[in-house]
Amino acid sequence: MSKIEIKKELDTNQAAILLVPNIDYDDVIVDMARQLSGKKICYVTLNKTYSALKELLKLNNVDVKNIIFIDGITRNVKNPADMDDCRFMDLQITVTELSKNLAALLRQDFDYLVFDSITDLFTYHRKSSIEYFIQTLVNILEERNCRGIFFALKGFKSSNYDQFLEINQSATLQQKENLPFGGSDLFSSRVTEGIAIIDLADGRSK
Amino acid sequence: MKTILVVDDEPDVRDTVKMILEKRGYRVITAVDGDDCLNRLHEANPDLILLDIMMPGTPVKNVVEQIKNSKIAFLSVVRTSEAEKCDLLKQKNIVDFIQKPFDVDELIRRIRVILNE
Repeated sequence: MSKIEIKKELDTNQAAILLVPNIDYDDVIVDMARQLSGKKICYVTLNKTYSALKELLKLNNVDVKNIIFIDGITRNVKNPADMDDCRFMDLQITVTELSKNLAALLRQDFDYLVFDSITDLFTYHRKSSIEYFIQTLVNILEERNCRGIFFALKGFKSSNYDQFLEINQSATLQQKENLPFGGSDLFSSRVTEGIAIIDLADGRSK
Repeated sequence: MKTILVVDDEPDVRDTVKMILEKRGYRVITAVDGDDCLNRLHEANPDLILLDIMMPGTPVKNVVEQIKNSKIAFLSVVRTSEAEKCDLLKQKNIVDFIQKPFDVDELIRRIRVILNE
């Protein structure tokens, strides 16, 4: 796995999508949380429950006192009450509602939003909705002066997902190289405005 | 012959688990989400339901509430803590929590235990 300095990557971008190989997933989560230690973080988890994630971070001596967790899983299986450091959210809502809920939470002056992960959204939402959601969220982050880190699983098998990554990687590459946009990929290119896509399998910012 | 209902929105998972279980002599039916699972219960009375946790449609907790006569094992890519697993396993009908990706031999072993074979 390639290591990146996430704060440095976010100096010039509002947000970054990190493509994470499955085998490195936990290591990346821990590494990112460690790098952001001391900053105020809103951590949206759709990949592990709040309890499992907190356990993993604590086990690796990551300080979690500045993290507010948003758990999008647990409410699917039971009816938990919100806690001081965790809100339980229903994922089976429209992306517009999801954006509104997160926008309300982000009023609390967070330095970083960690969204773990885009891949899990594909269970409930279509590619076009997810693209819209990401761009809306990045605009909200810009307004709130908060940086965003979006995890995405590398190698997840879904034609929609593959297409999403392919188009957005290609659009980001075009932006980096200052090439004019054009053709059928134009619609999706707006998703990547202000967003770096970083493949952690090779560490290159695309 | 024991019947197992595999409920997963990922076609690859459904097909693979179906193939594995049929090879071991089980009758396997499949469903694409929670609503489909509840519909299938009208036509079959499975001994075991392998149920994905993250699926579109009716939330899993509501699906579980409506399953009366079958054992349920969660088959999930989502990671939960041990305490949460214990908590879930206290619920009526829920007998196991199998983490994806799973080892085939381990899956079969656990199914045999659940079905008292």
